[in-house]
Amino acid sequence: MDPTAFYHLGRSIMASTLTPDPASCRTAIGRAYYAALNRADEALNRWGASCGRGPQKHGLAVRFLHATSDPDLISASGDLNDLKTLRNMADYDMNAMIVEKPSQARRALDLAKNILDGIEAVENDAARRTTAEANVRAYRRRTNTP
Amino acid sequence: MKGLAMMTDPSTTVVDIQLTDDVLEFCRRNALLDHLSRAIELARQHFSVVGDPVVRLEQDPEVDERYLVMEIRVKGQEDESIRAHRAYNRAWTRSTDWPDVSRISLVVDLED
Repeated sequence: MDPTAFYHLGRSIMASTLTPDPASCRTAIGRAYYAALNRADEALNRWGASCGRGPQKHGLAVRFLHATSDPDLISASGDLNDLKTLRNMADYDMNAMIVEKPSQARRALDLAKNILDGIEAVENDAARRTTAEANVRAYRRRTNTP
Repeated sequence: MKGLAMMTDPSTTVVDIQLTDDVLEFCRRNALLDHLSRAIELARQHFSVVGDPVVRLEQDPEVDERYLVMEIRVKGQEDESIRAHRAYNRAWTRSTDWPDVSRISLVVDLED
């Protein structure tokens, strides 16, 4: 499945009503995060950096995006890190009212869009993709990251 | 809340917010006070921040990692605040190395 479908589902959830309820906002944040995470994981795998299949994927995706040294992907690593925090709040902290606000869910979707766009821009530019790939491979060798 | 952190550049006091003991301890252990100062400074540059940022220490619910969450309350239009968030992350990620960059995340609460 194309992980960007999660992003579109999140958008649909937020567009389905004028006043999205708390569960809808939390769900949209989760879908935004998993769209971005899995899209990053796919791209990084193609560039020779596996994020694995377990929970380490969450941290490794942020780390490898940063290691590409591509300006857009370094920014995307920050967006993904903030999105991860929102998703942790949305899925695990039932007292966190901030993730029940529609504006927060829209922010999460926007952060995800920025990540998706950044990855696409690099994938469509052979020179940037080659550099990002070389940098992330070199990072893995230097740090012995599996 | 306790501990008024005053670190970083010898000529300035950037972190002027109250930090809890656990946040201070985490910052000291990971040499994060300068980075936290810069994160706060960048947040104030990029957003119309209302009041002081609140910094808390979080345990990741799925992996054995802890990190700081800097929560800011901001005023303004939603699209403007989202653009500011992007600009903040551009500046933050380009000025901070791994792993420090991943140890401070930003949560933005837009005033209704």
